[in-house]
Amino acid sequence: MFSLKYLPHKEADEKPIFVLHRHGFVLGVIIAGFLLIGILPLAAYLIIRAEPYQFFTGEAMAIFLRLLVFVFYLFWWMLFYYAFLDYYLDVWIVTNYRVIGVEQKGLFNRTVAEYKLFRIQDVVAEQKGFFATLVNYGEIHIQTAGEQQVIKFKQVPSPNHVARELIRLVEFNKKQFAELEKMEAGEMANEEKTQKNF
Amino acid sequence: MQIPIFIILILYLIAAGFFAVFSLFLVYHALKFGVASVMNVAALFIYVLVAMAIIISSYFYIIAVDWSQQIIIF
Repeated sequence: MFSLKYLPHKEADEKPIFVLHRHGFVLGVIIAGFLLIGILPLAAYLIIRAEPYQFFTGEAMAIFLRLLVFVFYLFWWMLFYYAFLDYYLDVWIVTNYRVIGVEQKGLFNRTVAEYKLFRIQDVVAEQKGFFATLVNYGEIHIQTAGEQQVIKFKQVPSPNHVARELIRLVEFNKKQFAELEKMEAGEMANEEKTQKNF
Repeated sequence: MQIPIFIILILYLIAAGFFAVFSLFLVYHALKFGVASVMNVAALFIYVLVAMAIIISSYFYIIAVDWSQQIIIF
């Protein structure tokens, strides 16, 4: 597991501003779906009990069906956790220096993207759909300078607020970067002057 | 025609083996790529706990069955 205290290539005064996962509502939908699937064996049992078919009678069939139920719940539970991990391992981190996007697509496909704040040009928040508007989640598209590629924060909570804060951070960061460049240019000019005087 | 009933057990063990291997991958991913948070650790703990509960309850069922029986097909 990685700790937010020990981000890779961390600057001395870097601190996380936002650590975003998909909205809890999305996890709620996943849980509700799996709970519905989880009651299927019970429903099947009740149907068979109410109307016993010839096919399902006999001791061997009873053993088979019981083990089938165990297998069903093993796989149900495994896929439930898999869906949870797919939800949870997608994380977008905004620090006072950069944006880091980590996306897990299945078990063996993982994308980690990182962009410095001063390179960001456009931030667009987007809320689409009834539930997204109702419970306040949506996408944030981030466009960087000179590249077509964007980081996309998917189904994150309060996208408008996050986008506003992100724009504020980007502007602040760009100012700092410009000042730093000016200072460096000034220092270099001074060094050149002193070298000429010698 | 008769077939031994433990074929069902073998099929179950194959499925349980697949479950175990896939679970190892899942736990590895949660530990390696997850954020160190209470939610991640709690979810991992609950996953292992419930998986163990299903495996143990199936074990108690399996040891109670007489696997020397035969299934009469025809």
